[in-house]
Amino acid sequence: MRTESVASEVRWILRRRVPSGLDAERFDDALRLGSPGLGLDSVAVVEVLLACERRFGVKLPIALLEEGPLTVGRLVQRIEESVSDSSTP
Amino acid sequence: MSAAMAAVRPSLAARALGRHAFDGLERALLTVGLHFPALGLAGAGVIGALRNRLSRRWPSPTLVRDVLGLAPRRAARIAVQIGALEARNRLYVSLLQEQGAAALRAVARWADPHAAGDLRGPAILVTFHVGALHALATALAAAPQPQLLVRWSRLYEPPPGSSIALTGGTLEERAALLRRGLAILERGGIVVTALDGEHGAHLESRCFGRVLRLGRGPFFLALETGAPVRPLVALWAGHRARVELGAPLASGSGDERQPGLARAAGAWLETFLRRHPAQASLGLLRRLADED
Repeated sequence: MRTESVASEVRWILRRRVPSGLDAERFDDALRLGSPGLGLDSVAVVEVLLACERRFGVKLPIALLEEGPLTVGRLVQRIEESVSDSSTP
Repeated sequence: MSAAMAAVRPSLAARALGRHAFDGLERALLTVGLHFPALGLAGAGVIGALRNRLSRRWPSPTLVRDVLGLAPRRAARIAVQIGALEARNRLYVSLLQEQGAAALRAVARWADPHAAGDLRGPAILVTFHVGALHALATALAAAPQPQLLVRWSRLYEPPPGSSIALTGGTLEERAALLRRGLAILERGGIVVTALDGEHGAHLESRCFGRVLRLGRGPFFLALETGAPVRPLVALWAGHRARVELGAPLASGSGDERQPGLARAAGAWLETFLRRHPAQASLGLLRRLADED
């Protein structure tokens, strides 16, 4: 299930690390974190993942990075799945 | 055929002949080195020095003079010694590929015999393209585990407890490598990586007044985990490699911590090369001279 709060908070976390003055609300789901896309480097990508883990209290697997290009939508989806898994009794 | 062409051709032919002859000698030394590593490496040093002296290339005395700021005569001597270093390193790589790191224990030793055993994780050991870089593979087998060795190519099978992760690749692959580094450090392990690679996220430092690009990943790992960043080098001393572990690099504070570590790393490398100019590699000299 899609939660707008996760999506908007992930975009807010991304916005703080994107070098140019892009509008976070316009970060399309298909936009890559690297290039072409938001232009983050590998360290910034890991910083984003750690910030998301701390914010949502989840652990994101390394597999997220091994499944191909990381996009905004895939990151949001994975966090939602992790949040859902961790809240299941 | 013009007179100029006629003059150039014999010179080119002589160079090509010389190159083939030296390549053949180095191949022959591999056979020797497989049975007697120390003898092979000693021979490689002689051949490499002679090759540099005759060709005045790889590196040229001019490159050594310009980058390290040496007087011409000293630069010429150091260039010959670097030629020897390069030939020894080429042979060491071939021996690593053929026999693995453990077979070379006799030629790669820690300067302080207790240093490897006393080493405690979490720690980030950073190397530079100087000295007997590949001999570190042998020396690290004696250090505590687990270790994550970040390399450009696999070259050899790591000892039990160590794993090799290849650098380069896509953004996601490099980020995954950083996550693996974090996991190893959180388990009290050791991450070993070259700092003066040029790919991926980097910070700029200075060395001999020149720009030195350093990987940002190791500094990020250090600040995220609190692990110290310690320089690790192996120096060629004749046909043996002597491994030295530096003190932890000092960082700045606040937002200056990563740039502070980068500055400290550049200063450490410059101090090392002023003390041991003949341990500079051709690749590092070229990068500092921006010839790559």
